Amino acid sequence: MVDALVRSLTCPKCGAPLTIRAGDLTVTVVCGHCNSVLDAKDPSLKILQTFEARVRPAPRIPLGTRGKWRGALWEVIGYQIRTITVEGIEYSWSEYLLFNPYEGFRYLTEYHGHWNDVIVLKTLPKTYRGGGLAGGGKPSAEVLGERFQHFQTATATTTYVLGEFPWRVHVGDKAEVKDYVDPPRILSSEQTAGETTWSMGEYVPGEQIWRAYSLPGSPPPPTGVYANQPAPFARAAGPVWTAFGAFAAVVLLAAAWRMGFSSPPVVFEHSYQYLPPTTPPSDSAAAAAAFVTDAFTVRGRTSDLELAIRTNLKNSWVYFGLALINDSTGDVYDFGRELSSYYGYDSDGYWSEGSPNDRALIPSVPPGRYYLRVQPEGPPGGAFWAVTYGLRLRRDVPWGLAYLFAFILLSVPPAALLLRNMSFEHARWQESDYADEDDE
Amino acid sequence: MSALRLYLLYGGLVLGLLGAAEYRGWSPLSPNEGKTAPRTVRDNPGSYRPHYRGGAYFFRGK
Repeated sequence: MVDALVRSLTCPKCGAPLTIRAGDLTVTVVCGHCNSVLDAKDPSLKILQTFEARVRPAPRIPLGTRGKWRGALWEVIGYQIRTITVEGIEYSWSEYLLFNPYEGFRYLTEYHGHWNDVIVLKTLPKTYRGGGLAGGGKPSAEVLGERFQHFQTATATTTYVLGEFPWRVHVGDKAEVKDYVDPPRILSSEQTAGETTWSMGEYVPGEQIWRAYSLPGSPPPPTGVYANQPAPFARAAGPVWTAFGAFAAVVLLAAAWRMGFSSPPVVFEHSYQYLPPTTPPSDSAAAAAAFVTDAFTVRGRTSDLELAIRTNLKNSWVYFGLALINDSTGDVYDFGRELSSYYGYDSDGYWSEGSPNDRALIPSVPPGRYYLRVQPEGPPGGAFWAVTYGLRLRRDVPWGLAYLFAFILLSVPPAALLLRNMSFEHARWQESDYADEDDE
Repeated sequence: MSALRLYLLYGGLVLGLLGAAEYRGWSPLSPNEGKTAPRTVRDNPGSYRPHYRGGAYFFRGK
């Protein structure tokens, strides 16, 4: 820092000491004791304005603080509060003027814990009215190859000043401010009667500023979503969706291969006939109909067994109490299957309900010697309701739902990211001129 | 750990589970695996009482 630029002065109104840090670049200096705005170009420090301040806000970064920021040493020399009024509500933010004798000026702005590093642009952006696809329908601006969407237009009033400024500052100054965003950057135009100034800001975490300026404590925590605040997982969304695509392709290919090319071997197949009793159903009648099949061998690794039941049911039902029993160990897999098939004609035409066929999956069956215990039950009616049925057991049958479940599980995180980002963006734009209208 | 790394880990786990389920024939829709059936079931199938009780009486057709 060039300390030769520093001048010590005395306020002509209250006699308080004043320090000018930016030398001849300073146009206005404000006395923090009596709130007088002084002409720094006048040797006698002519009083330009004295304003009333209901409260004296203390800058979070005290004037005179120096810190290494963006590769150079910057000193905080000025502080102002600016306010806009939207639908009768005042919103104020702080601006810190930073000075480096070789780099010039830049700003740090702060609103509810959200910080931006702002520089004045020398390049004039191009602006576009809304309606085009590139701006998402909103007005937009483009500079240095980057497109920004219009966020808000408001009239900003300077409501408090402290320190020194390279322009003629005045409490009560108004400027029409237009903000355009492309997170994490924000492009702003400030229009006064005489000129339009463009600046570019970049969102920075408060912790970076606290470290750079060696400030005590912690920065104020951010509340809400700021205009150009980057979405927390915006960068991760693309790569995660790409990974999902790769995983989904693996699942689909695996499913296609298993279901298209696998030939589960048949380990047992036989046909039978069930003659229902002529008396109403009873436990003893059902037990009398029970039988066991011949034993069969299940080979290979522990895997599933699929039992397919095919019947000639017509407008009736049959229930099978089934048990797969290991002939050596006696381990039992108990289950029951009910089949019903009905059809007919009514005023709407042909109708049908149920199916004469069924499948059941028995998971994780170790290899071994097995037999089936079968106990059929049906409506009474004797030979008229005789049911012919076939039982077929196949080994290592692919379970299609497993692939569907895997696909759903894989889609949950990217879908959650998408919803999170959409919710974040919605919260962002609720602070803009394009917020949803309140319900009446 | 970044979101992508976490997701890659999670996705690997899901695919691994899928592979294991298909290889071992897992399924949440499992029948009752009951106690040991006595040898007499072979000789007298009617004497066996299934652990799964869903008799035909509760599934009347039309």
